[in-house]
Amino acid sequence: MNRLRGKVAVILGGENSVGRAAVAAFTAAGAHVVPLAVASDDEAIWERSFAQAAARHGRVDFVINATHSCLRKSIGDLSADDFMGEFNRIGESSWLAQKYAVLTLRRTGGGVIVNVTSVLARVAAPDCAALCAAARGVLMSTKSAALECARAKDDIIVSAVLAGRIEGDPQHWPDGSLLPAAPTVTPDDVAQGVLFLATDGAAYMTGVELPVDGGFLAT
Amino acid sequence: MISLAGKVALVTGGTAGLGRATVQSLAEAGAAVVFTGRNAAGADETLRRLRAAGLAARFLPQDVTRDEDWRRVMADIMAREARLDVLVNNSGVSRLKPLADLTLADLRFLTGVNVRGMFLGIKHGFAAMELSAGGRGSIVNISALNALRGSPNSTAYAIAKGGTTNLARAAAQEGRQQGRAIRVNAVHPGVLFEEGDKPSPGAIALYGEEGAKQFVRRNIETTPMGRLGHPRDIGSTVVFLASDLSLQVTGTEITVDGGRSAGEFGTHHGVPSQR
Repeated sequence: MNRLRGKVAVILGGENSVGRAAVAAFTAAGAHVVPLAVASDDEAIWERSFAQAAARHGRVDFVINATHSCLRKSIGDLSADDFMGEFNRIGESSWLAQKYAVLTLRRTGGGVIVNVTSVLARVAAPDCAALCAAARGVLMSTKSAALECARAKDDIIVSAVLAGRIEGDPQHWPDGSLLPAAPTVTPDDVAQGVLFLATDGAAYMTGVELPVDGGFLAT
Repeated sequence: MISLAGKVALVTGGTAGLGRATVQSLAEAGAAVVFTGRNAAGADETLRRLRAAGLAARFLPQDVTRDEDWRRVMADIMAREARLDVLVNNSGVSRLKPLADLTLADLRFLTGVNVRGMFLGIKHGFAAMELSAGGRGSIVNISALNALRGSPNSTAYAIAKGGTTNLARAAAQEGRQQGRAIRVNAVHPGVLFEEGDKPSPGAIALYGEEGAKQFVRRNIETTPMGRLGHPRDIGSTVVFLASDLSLQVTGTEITVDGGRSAGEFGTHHGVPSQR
């Protein structure tokens, strides 16, 4: 299937299993994939990194942010700096990615932004408070960006995918130790949800939260 | 009337609006109240209003983002009141701007108070309640509708207040660990006005003088209860959550917004179709 032939997807989070699966899914759908990793709190570097990514194929159609982290520690065992370090690895980097994604797509004629976070945006678990907090933050920021883009009529869709329980990448994604009651989904399942939001079939959806969780959030 | 007699409550940011009203509501219900903040003049005004109502509370200066301030405040409470039953993480900041105008410095300002400050409150609150109240207690995080519904100009504020709300829900999962029975809830105020229907400085900064008046009018029109909220509406909700009437209420997202977010308009006034 080449339903995204000629399109360009910038993908952040390629160091984790879901980001890697997204790279594979968009590549298989015919898109040019530009992996992007920005580890900086200097906005000029974010701006330059997005400009370079956009220059690679002369356009950008999709920005997929699958940056994620999953530190397991109870509140009592975390210092404020530990807690905020984890919160920022998800929340702050996602906010920066979303900001520069919107600014880039505004210049290049619109497109789709998908923020991939966890079902922990909606269902809390013990011993991962920073992830729970950041996941909800990313979800609600997604909706805010979606509304701003819709109001500006700049043809940018911003939505979120909430990944369910994933086994095998506990450094980045919650597994059965945090979500024992949830069905297991694969990184590829999550990537297919992301891919769907990037297709024309999802062109009138924005600000949505798409769980790819085997029905977990329906409980 | 709900009685909080015998309970000790700590309210951060009790030096203005919502926090001040919460201090008063808790004191009226019979709790011994300690409140903190950075604004000494605001603290004096809170104490003056309490005295005028025949009530009392104790003020301690505190920057909620500083671990050492939390240690000092908790040590002071352990020395004076010798227990802690209720913590209201009320100190919060807001900054609404279009995405392109927001900077990382704005985001860090927002997450510093709304996330880091409330994390420290929960961490030190858990420890103080374990030490002094048999591991029982109630913590309330004051959040915002932006944690429940999307709203323009709040990509950074939504990160912070989404964090505030889910920090409460995550902490509720840990509140029953290690023999504790500490409840943690998040409260979401709607649009609040203390004096008449005057627009807030924040609304004026964002929409201009005339736009802010319209903002207020539209908010009233689109709120099912037909009025804006008063900080005391939040205070009374906090009293319920602080009391033994809510012993089975934890990890919830309570909305006190006159019905707004149940309906079509949520935090804003509709979004134009892109088609």
